[in-house]
Amino acid sequence: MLFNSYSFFIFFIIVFICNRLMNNWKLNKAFLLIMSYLFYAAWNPPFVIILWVSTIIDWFCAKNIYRSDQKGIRRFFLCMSLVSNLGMLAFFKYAGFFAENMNGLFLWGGSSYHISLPSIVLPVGISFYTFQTLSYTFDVYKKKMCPAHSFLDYALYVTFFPQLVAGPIVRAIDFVPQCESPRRATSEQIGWGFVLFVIGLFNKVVIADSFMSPIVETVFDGTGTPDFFCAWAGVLAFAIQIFCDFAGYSTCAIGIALTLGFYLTTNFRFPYAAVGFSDFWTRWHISLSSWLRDYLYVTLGGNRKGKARTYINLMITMLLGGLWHGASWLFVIWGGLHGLFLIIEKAILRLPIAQKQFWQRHMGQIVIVLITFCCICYTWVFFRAKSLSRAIDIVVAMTNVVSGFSDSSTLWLPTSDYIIVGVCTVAILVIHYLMRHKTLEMVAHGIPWWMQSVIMSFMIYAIITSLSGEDRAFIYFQF
Amino acid sequence: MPLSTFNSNLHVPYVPYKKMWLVAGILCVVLLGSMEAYWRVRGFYPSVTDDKALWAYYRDQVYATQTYKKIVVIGYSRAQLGIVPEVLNSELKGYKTVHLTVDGHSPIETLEHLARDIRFNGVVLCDISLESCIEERNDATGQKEWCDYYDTYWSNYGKIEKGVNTRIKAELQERLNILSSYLMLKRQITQWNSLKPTYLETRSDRYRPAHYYTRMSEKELEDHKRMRIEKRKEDLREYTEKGFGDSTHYKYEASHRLGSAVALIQRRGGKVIFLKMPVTGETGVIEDTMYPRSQFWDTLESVTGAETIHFMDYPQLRGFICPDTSHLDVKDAKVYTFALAKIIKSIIDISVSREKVNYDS
Repeated sequence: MLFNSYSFFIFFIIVFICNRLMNNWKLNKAFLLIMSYLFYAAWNPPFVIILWVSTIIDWFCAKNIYRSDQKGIRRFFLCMSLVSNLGMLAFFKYAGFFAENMNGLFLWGGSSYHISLPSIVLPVGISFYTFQTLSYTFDVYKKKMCPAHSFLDYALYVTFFPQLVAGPIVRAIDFVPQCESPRRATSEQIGWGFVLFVIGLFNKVVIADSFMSPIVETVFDGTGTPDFFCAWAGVLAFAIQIFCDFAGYSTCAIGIALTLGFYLTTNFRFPYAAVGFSDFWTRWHISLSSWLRDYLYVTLGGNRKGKARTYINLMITMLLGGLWHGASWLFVIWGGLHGLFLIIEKAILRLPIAQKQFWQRHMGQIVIVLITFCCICYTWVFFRAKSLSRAIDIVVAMTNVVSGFSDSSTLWLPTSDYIIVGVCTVAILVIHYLMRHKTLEMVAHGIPWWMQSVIMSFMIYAIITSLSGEDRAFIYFQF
Repeated sequence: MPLSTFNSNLHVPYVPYKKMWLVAGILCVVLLGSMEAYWRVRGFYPSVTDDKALWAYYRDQVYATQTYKKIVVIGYSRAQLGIVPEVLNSELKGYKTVHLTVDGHSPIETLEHLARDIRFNGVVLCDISLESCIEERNDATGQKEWCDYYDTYWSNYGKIEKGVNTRIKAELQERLNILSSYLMLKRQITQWNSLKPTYLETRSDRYRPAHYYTRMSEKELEDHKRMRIEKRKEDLREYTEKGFGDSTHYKYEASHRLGSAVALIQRRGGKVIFLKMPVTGETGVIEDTMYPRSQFWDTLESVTGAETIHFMDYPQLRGFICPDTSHLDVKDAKVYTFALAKIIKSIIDISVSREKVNYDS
């Protein structure tokens, strides 16, 4: 069920009304849990079983980890949780990828042996909820938290529908305490929750789907060769699309949760205002980057084992982070490029030139922001392209300025598309830069209520008049 | 202790939200209502987005119920514009029409998809273009994308939610211009000056009434007609250069693909009728040149075992003028469908009597 669907609209009205009418908190939670399962089942009912399996195994493992003082037993149950969750992820997401690569290896080795490619349907959101339940067992193992007292609270934490299929990846330590005492959304929370929902939908439906997606498809999925301008238009469009799509979804999720009285973690903080790649990863998909930092990077040793080991740990984290996004070497390349840029950044920061005052001033910061953004755009090519050859074509075109002035391109974009991409790129960079140390809430404090009404009404108009196109699932649903 | 990114101290902005949302709601309704009225005054008509979800929704409706058997129309735009479902329904009592046509894409994949579906035993009315049976002229995948979409997203219980969403979307789009894909916000911004009502609309049942005479100027119609003829001339040039029209190959394709699909459906009690929709003027002449009837159409019945209805074989189906040489205007479509329904009825009745005779004997 997509947030921008009529069926979700009906579903949410029912959930919201019942949530407001129920006075018994336990009943309310049980109702939210059942509705969350229904929400998930809307894609494919049998996959709810996988959700149950993950929920029950980690509940059981965390309880046993907490009860025992023996390191061996604690490790055993932690491993059980790891193996079951990562095993499920490996099977559903990577089995086909593994088989494909093994076949490639056999062929390269001259063998005629062939593994038949399994036809496995990827359960929606599996990457998100497995990481979410893993964080629960990790936190109990590290004694950062006690296991949830109530299975209902824990199950609701795993399954809560606003964040179930595409994040944010919520930590149990943040969500479970919210379940323990009765809560009822105030009118301010409901009002602001709906504002966030509308902003999220506007980002997704209007900007990502309606304006950017056709341009991205023409450049990335077309068969022609782009020139310099066409390639950049496509890549900038994708940079905007993926931000608006994913941040849009997260904003919707946070808004919906707020209308039901729950707070979810911020997932984006104006990432295109990032000053360097380290800063980018504190602003982009924050729930995933913090998960990777806390449970992978730190476990590998973080930056505590010397420069070389720090770089290796960074690279491993980013490569696996890339692979998390999808079973394709292109995602690994994307992750690897981010790892490489992070390493280069660390090396540059050691140089004397990096210590100059200029870089701390506005102009210097803007220069770094623009350089970071350009580098991020190059990495997005590998994230979006369907083949390595297409990615290379686009990267080469992005670097070949001369091609923009010759007749080499066999791909064509109308002038209006160039204008739209140009305007949106400038707008997004300016907005992100101005908002980089602020939050939406801070900005909303300063806008008169009547102006907010006007903005909301135009956004809703834009959403309704952009809904009619081909249904495009949120980009991160494929993860 | 909570994460540093966690907003447990989230300060929800203090705004008089009830007032804010009330005013926003009123403004929104006024804006949407004004735009809806504006588009109507300018002569726009609501139209449904004919996407794969809508096709899949109707693909799921092909099975007989206790009240109705189904007559499934597959084929190209000629059938999608020329066959009016309610006229067929009213003339063929006990039958309900389902449109699975897709413009510009060969229906052979859909016919095979229905043939493989053991639950389907209705009537298939197939607007077939003989080019589909000639490999070099076949469009790459035909309607395979639509069939694959159905198999991937619609063949499990997940279709319940998708079906609800698709139905609501289609019903709303059929009534409101503001939801029409032709009037999407992006088009409003980038093509405001060139937006004008189109002669074609799509209904929620996927039928597409074409208003050539009432919504097109004479010049527009003439240009449209010329464009279509030019396209067909280009096809003829390609045909001549590459030497298409090997009737041997066509017969192979027809008997193996079409014949197998027909046999499977008819063995289950269904019926397949191949249909040649009216085509007039230069387009008709070009098509007859490329695919002479005696080599192609006339062999279809014997090669596949299906019934055929060629518009030239029935006086009541001849005599229609296609405004663009290829498609019927909405008024003619109704008359044509009425006449076609009677012919189909006689074919179905004969089949039923034959089965009855076979059963009795």
